[in-house]
Amino acid sequence: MSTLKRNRFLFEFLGIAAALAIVPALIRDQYFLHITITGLIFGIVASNWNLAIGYGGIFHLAQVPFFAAGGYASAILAVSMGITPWIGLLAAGGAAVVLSVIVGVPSLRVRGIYLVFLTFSSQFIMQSLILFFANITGGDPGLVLPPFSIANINIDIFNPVAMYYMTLLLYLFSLAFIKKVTDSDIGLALKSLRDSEVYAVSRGVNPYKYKMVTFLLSSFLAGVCGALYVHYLRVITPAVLDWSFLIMFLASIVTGGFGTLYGPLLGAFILTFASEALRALSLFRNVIFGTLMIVILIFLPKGLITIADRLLTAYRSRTR
Amino acid sequence: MIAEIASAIIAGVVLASMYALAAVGLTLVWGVLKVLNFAHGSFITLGAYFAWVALMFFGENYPVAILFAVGLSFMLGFVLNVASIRPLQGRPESENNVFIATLATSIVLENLVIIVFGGRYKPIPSLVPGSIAIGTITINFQQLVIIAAAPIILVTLMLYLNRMKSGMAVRAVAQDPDGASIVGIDNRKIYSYTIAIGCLMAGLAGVLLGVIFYLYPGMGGDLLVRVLFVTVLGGMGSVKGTIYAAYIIGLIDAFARYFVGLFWASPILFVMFVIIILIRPEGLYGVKV
Repeated sequence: MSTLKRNRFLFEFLGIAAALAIVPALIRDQYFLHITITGLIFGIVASNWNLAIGYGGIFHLAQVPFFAAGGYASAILAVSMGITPWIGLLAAGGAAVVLSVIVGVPSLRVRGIYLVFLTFSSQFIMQSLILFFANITGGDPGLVLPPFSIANINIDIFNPVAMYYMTLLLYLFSLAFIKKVTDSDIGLALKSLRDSEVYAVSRGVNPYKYKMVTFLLSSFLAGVCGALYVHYLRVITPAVLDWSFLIMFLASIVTGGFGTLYGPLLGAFILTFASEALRALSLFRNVIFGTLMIVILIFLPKGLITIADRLLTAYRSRTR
Repeated sequence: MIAEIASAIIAGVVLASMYALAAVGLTLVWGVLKVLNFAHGSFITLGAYFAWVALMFFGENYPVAILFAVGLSFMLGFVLNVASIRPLQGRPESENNVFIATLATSIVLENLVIIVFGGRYKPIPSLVPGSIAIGTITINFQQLVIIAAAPIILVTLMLYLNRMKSGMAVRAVAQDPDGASIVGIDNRKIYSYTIAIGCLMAGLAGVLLGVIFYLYPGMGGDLLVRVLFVTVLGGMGSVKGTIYAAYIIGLIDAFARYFVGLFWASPILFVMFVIIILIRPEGLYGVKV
């Protein structure tokens, strides 16, 4: 990779970090920050899912179970053993990776629609397990959780500024992580598998191995985000497995841009802010979002980020 | 014990009839277009609500209501094709794109149903009132009608596919789209007709589902998971396999509900689903994958 390209990423990375870092200084409204935090968390989960479905060509629906596994792992550690959520955060990532092995080993052997079905079932099986082990998971009413805290200062929904910076750090980590993965040998192998599986295999690329690695990598931060989200809201219920999360993450990727680095975050921000702004429309909101998804899929298959790209290129060619 | 087994069998056959009617449309679309129509569940819901509308506004005349529901579903099938399937076909990732687009369509339709009709459970006037008691088992006439209607509808569909010229064209496109266009079949036309027929079957299944249970906006979506299972067990794309699979799953479902417990029916089916995909993804009659 050329140094120019690497510098470009560094430039974009620092730009995003700076732009997002000054947000709490500009807008002090707690409610606004709350929505921004939610958007960031959804953006991280969607970006990592995008690593598998956008870059990897592994169209799976297990991202919400990863998210929920992380949330429940940290929640159970905190409630039944009194372990601090800071350790829970790492345990959550670990739990998601373990789940991704359990789901991935059988699922990645099949392809296409069967992969969709298998990963889709994992959500329902997990739901049954949560209700069955209600004595540790809290069942339907769920669990009330301790917040993250440093020196007796709680980082939760009542202290959004601290939470915001914590989520931002995680997003920046996620961004660098995804960039690193897609630029590595794994990314190259995935690209070759996506473009021509037969040729890639004939050149010695093991599809199962690379798909499995991508699947594992994309689950880790989803689990961490699950823990972050539930400790932020201070409660976990089986609703973390809700269908609406899947729709939200998928819609973020579609709206922002399939297989693009910044698309999923853009999509997540647009959707979380739009759904707050259009709250008065209640159910019509979902009708609008569903229609928007179809329109974008048809007319802008690479998402709204392509518009930003086009504007940027037009601007560059004008100034040159 | 015998009475329990008999009731489970009757409940199973009723469920199976529903599953068969709901699944054939989906498997037909898969067989011809090689895409999963996730909006199929919403069309089941729509069919039931259309019948309800007809019964409320045109008087309690079931033949009219069924024709109304089925006709509207058929026509909306063409709209579904133009809006969210055809524009995405031929793309490299078309299978996934169509899945997402039809998923988005199902969100739109389900929310529209709640907006128009409200989210509450709605009863629909019964098709045939009354019931018959044999020993300790009571069977509603409605259940008997559905048990009898499903095979008639399915045989009609099979006859259409096997005997009528347009039906054979549908099968030809499913087997080999290029070969079909060489002999002068317009593939695009067959695609849109197939989707419309799939939606028609979904609408019809919805009417019968509404008759035995209640109407609510998530009724089709809730059924869709079982329908997918039936489709996979039958072999994606095989109408015959899907019909057999529907009766197998219906009976297993009913027996699990009666003898293991309501909570366990879904997990049992899901574990079976996973095992079948892993050891025999082509199902009973599908093509090897």
